[in-house]
Amino acid sequence: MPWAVSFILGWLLFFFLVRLPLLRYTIWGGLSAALFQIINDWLMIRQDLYQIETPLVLILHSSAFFTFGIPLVMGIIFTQYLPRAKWLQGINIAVWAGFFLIMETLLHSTGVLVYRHWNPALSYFINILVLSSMTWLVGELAAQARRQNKEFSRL
Amino acid sequence: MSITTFTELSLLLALVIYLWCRLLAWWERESG
Repeated sequence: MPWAVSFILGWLLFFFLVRLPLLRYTIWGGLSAALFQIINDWLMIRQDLYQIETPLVLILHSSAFFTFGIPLVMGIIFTQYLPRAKWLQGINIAVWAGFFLIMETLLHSTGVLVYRHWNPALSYFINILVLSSMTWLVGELAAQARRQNKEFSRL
Repeated sequence: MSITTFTELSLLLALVIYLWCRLLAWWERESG
């Protein structure tokens, strides 16, 4: 049930924040985030670092409701709102890593995410690495989206 | 944690994320 709830709330937030004309640039942020998540969790779960309970629909050890929920939509939003200034990108990475950590903590508290040899500090560190990689990967796409958004704003 | 509490806290987190994104958008507009 928590996986389904997180899926619904993630998509609700997406529809409040997304600018659909920019989706052709920003969707790659979502796809890369989902790919990072599914590979990372597949490796971690195989090593018995943590386990997923009641996934509803499984995709490589992860719940499909999670992969096509939070990482996908938040990856798109992360790309769309990526700041230009490097110093602000650094703060943005730390803040988003915190958001994902809070979401993980909530899921852990419901019992659908079980830590075997894991702890939140490791999660935060991994989040920092992934979001830093994403900032580098989607930076140019985010810049194109900003230019497109400026043109739309003039209309 | 009950599913109700999880949903309420998730909604609160969603609100914080929404406000953060709006803040970033405002900053981008202000900084040109």
